[in-house]
Amino acid sequence: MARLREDAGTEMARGLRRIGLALLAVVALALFALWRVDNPRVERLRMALADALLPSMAAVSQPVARFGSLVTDWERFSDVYDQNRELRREIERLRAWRDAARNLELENAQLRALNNVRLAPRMGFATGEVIADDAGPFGHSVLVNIGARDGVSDGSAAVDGSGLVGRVVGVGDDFSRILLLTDFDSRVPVKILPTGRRAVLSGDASAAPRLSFLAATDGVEVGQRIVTSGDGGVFPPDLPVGVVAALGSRAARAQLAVDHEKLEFVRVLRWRRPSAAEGPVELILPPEETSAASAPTAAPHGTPDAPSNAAPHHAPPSAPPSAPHNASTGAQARP
Amino acid sequence: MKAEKRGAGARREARQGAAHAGGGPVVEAASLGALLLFGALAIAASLAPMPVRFAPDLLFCVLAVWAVRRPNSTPALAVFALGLARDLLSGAPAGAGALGLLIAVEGLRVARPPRAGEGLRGWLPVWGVVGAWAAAPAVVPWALLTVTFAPAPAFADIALRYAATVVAFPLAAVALAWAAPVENSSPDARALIGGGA
Repeated sequence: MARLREDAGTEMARGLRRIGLALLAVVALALFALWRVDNPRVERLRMALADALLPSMAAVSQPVARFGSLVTDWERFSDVYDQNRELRREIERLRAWRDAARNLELENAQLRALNNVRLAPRMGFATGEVIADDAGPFGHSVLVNIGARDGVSDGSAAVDGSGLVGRVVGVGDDFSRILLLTDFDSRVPVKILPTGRRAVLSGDASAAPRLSFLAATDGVEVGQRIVTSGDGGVFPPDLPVGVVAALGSRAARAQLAVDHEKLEFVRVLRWRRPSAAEGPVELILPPEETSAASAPTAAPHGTPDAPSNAAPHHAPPSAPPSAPHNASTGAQARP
Repeated sequence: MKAEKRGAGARREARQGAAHAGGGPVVEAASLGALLLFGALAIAASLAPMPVRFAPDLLFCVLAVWAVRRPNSTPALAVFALGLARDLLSGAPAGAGALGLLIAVEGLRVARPPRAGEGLRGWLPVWGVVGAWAAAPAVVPWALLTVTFAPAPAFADIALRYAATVVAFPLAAVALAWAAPVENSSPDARALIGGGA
């Protein structure tokens, strides 16, 4: 009798266990389905979890990251002499470019002054450190320690010193997730210079993403520069992306300017697509209004740290040269 | 009547033996806590920026060690929670990795070889079984992505991660045996949420 009761209890426990497992499997599949159909909601869930857990996890991930950087430093140390030689050569080349850039900057400032051009103060940035890296095969993204409190918004472009890194796909209070250009879901409208051919850079988990929708390859050659086209208004135009790496019959490939495996810091751009000009007054001020335009203007998003772009025609011609895409940026370095 | 009494006594002894091997509810709870702690550490370590392209699945290694050594301290709910946390923090397809881990750990608990972990000779078959089930956390998300027409990674990438995980398992087992020297428990005591069922 007791044995029968015990057997019945065991059977019931087994049944409950199977039901529990089935329920967990259903929940997992439901979450997967939600991720497929409603990605932004899952992203918000991800960022809420990251805000809650990542600060306490830093104690573990930082020593591991330091170990990783030790390995990287050792690799760099082993070929330091070659790097030194290469850097000296590079410095010589860059000195020539610096002189050319100064001349161009001077000429540019003079021409702008002649035309009374007022540049729209629409870009600022926030700099953050990469604190987590998804090294798995299913996604290519990183987490950075800047979030909504730093003015980061969904869809913003992320760059480093070499070029475009990716775009922000999730924003928490203190953290953001950046989808790298190599991820499956990454699509960036680009153009190839100097031909100006438009294409879409499509990530496929390889180090060299595809150049999709490249209508014709006439005039396109391996080694030509690729920059963002600005089509769609998500990314600012003319951010460096990389170079054309291969031109095949099936698809062209791009070699990215950024080495995603050695990312340490990224800048998230606070850029707003310029609104359509309603008339010439929007862009070129008559002479009597230029003095008013030179007064400090408020940052476009109301962020006090995003400096206004004072009218460049009032800037001294000897202003340091700056890249076109960050000509009006303001730094907000996070300590 | 006498035979029935003898049978009941044997069953009681077997239950006591299993309880002794499991170490009682306090040890079970401590073991479950250690599992959650080491699981969280594995997630944090795998998220750290490292200059490697294919890191092993450290969370699976931790769960596999626990499933082999203390199956009744490896409840499915804890496995699912750890897998889901990893999915959400890492940017992987939500729920798919957790489902793969759940299948792998449950498979390991069922297919756990007898005398697992007792000496090197006992560990070789364990490594084989773990090697077989280590494919699930990688293959299940890949299959779900493929079935739903979502872009999935190349199978070579999956295979590389699988190989790294299988190679890393013995190292994780040695490290955990040193860090958490808990006694192996009975394979018969299995539970969904803590305790023996």
